Amino acid sequence: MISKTTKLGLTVSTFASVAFACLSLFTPAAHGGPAEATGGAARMYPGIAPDQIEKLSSGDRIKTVTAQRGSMTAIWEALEEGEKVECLDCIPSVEPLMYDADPRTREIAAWWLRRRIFGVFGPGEVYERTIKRLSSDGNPKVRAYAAEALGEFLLAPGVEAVALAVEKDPEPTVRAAAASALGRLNDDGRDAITKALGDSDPRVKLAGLSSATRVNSFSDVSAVAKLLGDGDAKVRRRAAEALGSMNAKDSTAGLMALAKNDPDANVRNSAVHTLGMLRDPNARPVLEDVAKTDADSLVRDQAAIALRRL
Amino acid sequence: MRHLSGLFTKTRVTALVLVLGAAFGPSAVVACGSSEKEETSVNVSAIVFESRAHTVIAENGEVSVNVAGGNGQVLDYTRYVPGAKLRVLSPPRPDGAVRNLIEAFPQADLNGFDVSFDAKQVVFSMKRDPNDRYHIYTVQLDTGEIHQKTGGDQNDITPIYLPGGRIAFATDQMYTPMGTRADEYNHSRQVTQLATISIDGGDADRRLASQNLSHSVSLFSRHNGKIGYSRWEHLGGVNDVKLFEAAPDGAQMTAIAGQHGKPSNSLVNVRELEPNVFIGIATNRSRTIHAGALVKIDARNHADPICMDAKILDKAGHACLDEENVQYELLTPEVPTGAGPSPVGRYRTPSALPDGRLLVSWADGAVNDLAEQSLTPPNFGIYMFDPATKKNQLIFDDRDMWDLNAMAVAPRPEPPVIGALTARAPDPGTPVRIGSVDITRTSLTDRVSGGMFGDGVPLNEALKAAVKVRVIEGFSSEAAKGVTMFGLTMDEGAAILGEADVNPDGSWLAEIPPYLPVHLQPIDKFGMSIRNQRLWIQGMPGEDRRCIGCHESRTQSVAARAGNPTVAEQRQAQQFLAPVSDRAEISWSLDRTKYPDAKPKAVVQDILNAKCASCHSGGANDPFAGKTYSVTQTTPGTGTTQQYTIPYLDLSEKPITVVYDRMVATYPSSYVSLFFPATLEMGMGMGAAPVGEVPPKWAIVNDARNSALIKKLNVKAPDGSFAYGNPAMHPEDKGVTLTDEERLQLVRAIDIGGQFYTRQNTGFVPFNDTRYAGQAYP
Repeated sequence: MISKTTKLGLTVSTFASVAFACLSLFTPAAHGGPAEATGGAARMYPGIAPDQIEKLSSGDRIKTVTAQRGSMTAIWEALEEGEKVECLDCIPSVEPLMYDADPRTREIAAWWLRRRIFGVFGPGEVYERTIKRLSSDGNPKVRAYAAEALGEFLLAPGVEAVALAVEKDPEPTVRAAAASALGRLNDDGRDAITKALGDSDPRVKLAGLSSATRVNSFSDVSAVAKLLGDGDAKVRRRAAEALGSMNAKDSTAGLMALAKNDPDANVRNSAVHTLGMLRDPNARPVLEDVAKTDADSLVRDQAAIALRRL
Repeated sequence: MRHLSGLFTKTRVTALVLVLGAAFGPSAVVACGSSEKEETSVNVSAIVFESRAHTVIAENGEVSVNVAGGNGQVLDYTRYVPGAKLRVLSPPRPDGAVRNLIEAFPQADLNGFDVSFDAKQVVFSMKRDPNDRYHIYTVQLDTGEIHQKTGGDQNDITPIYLPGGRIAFATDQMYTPMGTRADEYNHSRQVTQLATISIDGGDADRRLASQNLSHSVSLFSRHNGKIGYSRWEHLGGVNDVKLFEAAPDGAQMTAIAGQHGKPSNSLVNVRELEPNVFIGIATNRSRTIHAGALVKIDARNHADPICMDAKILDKAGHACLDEENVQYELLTPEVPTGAGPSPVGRYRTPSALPDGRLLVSWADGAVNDLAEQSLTPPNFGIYMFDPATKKNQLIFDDRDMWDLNAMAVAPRPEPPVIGALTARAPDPGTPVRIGSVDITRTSLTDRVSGGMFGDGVPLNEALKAAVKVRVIEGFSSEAAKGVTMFGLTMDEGAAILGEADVNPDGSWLAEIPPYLPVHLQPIDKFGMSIRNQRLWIQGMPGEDRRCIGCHESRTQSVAARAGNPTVAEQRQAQQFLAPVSDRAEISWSLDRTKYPDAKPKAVVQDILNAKCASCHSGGANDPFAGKTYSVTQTTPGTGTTQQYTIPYLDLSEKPITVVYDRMVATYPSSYVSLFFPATLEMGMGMGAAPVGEVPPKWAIVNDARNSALIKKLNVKAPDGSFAYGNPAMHPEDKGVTLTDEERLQLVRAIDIGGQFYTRQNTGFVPFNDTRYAGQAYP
């Protein structure tokens, strides 16, 4: 998503955009032709038809589109198709994209960089700089983006760095980004996810919940179950869903209480659905009651389906 | 926050048309242009379509346009913008009455829908608010009564009705002990798979299909009661979107178009017009918002007159689907099938009207990345496209939204109900049977060169030399913790489930774990791959996925060479059912600092250390000692340079220059030495022009027989013959003996994809809670 603040002059800017677009029709930006797009791949993977073969960017194309900072999808495509393009000179223009306003641009920039053998992981290079930014940059947005990037890099030193940020960073957005990064790293960061679940800020809790269901080694069901009583409905809703994903059979009591009494219909909906997933026969009376009496028809639907699963 | 309303006016469209008209001439604009003045006669009482938002104005006046979110993927299931409407237009013409079936959910987004066979109900995918997921709902067209059918912590999208009261859809539900399939190529995003529910039971009847490594999307109903869908195929150097079908129980996933040529990289948004004839969109996967040219896809068996006669309904006994000779007709030839700017707009989501005309979504303009950032996102409206005149006729256009996926509200024949091909409640531990009646049968015309095939022989000749079939499991980054990529290769993670014996009659038979995506390699007596299958195959528990040959003709019957049963059937299937931890994975090396508990079973570096490194690590005995080539990085602006040196051939585990605080696993010199030359060839060295003599391509992924390393080593078969004709073997010529198994490991490591990482060398452990209890993935 891109954001542009506009108070006036939409027509002017709109027309300018159109004019730019149409001008671009005649100045295609460093696009390789078909031979360039598949030539190297075709040589290394002979016999694959042109409509099926992996396309390849060139170093020139990566440098051009990243320097222009114009089209997001052109950047995404150039980097995606540049998976195997060893372009050392591209690295300086791709690194800043890890701090772009667009989250997908940030993501794919880190994705491309982490696939490099040279120029990224050496002393003083991109990876080291990213860790330093997370720990010491004065701008919380930069720290948050650095945490995201470390998640995308999927490397072990990043675990320690983002786990520390979950615990210590004063800014909730940074702690949330760090908690999300642990999910990408598939690592609980020595209880950092549990710490995120106990954070005071709901954004951090939500990020922790998302990671809790994605990290193989995470099994702190009680930390998730505690959030069924959270003051934020979004957190309660997501906690109820997470308990279903974690097959947390001993959380039935808390879920039944939510299903019956939570003022938020979305929370009741998720709690009822999870009760169905857990298939605990003790939930039958509650589900029968909800199926008949809940004020929300979608909650009643979920209760009827949950009853069929018991 | 409010959704865009009345912000964009006709001025925008006019401006674009004017400029485009100047660029391409008025005829190009007119060709696919619309006429709002013409009377529209759709001949149905109503149509349903979804209007999706793309623009939001925040309280502070900030305008956010989300055209492209998700469109770097095959589908945009994460492109949430609030404000969608599920609309009924009756009668279907510009002045028809419009009602929104999801009025009660102003924060909702939609992701696909379908009209029931009796035209009384609509099933749709909706995310009700920013904190929700996409789930499946139904709505009665007469009463507007809405029911929720699925819930939980996953996205369920693009639902369709199946005969017999079921609904199929795509889901990113996590259902393996490894986690949700996460295509590393797609930045490890959760992959969507097929699933079904019953209309009455919803999630209580939820069933999951076998898995692919990349997205399955854009479902459509098949005339035969099966699920049609677009499947993103990513396997090594293959990266495209084909058409597939699957039985309602998830069994028999097979290609129906796009495997043997197509006019674009991707086929999406497909509907079936008549048996085995489809209408869809031909486009590029990236930068097009999945919009493209209208394409008619004719997969009928043109050689069989019964198949071509629409009046003959009973086609039993006839192979009427000819996926190998599909004919494509681009109905809108001016529209690009690639990612370039269109001079005449682009199309999305066609569907057929009873009289043969098409309901389409069409937007004027370039409809690619040129429009994504402006405040003029492409404006998709609903049109009727007449294939005879190639003209669009406006039916409805909300200029503030994308109007998509129009379908006639008209009853249609309910396809036959296909009984479950596998057990209704399958024991997930029941294996899948795979095999061939006669592996030499093939309709493919590839040539195979290298090793015993010299300069090349036709594939059908080469297959006569097949002695085994290698069955390779694929996995992605969900199964290899900390993997940054699987190596200097485009291939995914791999494990060899087994190598099945090819019997004298060409038959082979094996049992493998269900659900898993696998691909096959027939191998010669030297253990080298003859052909690398470039399509994932998979099966449900208890499913039989035996084929006739090695991609035999699908429209001809082929008898077993020596009658039935085949020798393989008489000998019983070979069992390739080892648990994950015991599967044959070939790890290149092991970083004991990073993965102290990892216990890989086969490590290539161990072989190299024991048998090769003493001479190939820069020492006195090294014939290439001191020989290197380099690549140099120049930082723009500062002009500073950094040079990286790569050994010509160093088979030691000495780490290549990039090390961070001794913690980051780096590639050993052996891996970089062997695979980097092919990587340079792949990227053609652009941006990293090497200085110095680049060595031969020591190792070419998927192609051991043409890899310089294997040629140098040579391979001796059990019958005493040599792969490359001459008996010279290395390192035996230097007094060092490589065992046959060690040699074979090097061959396998290259043939299965040249991966550096495996599950075993990354310390993979399944989820450690009970969420998959009862799901036995052997």
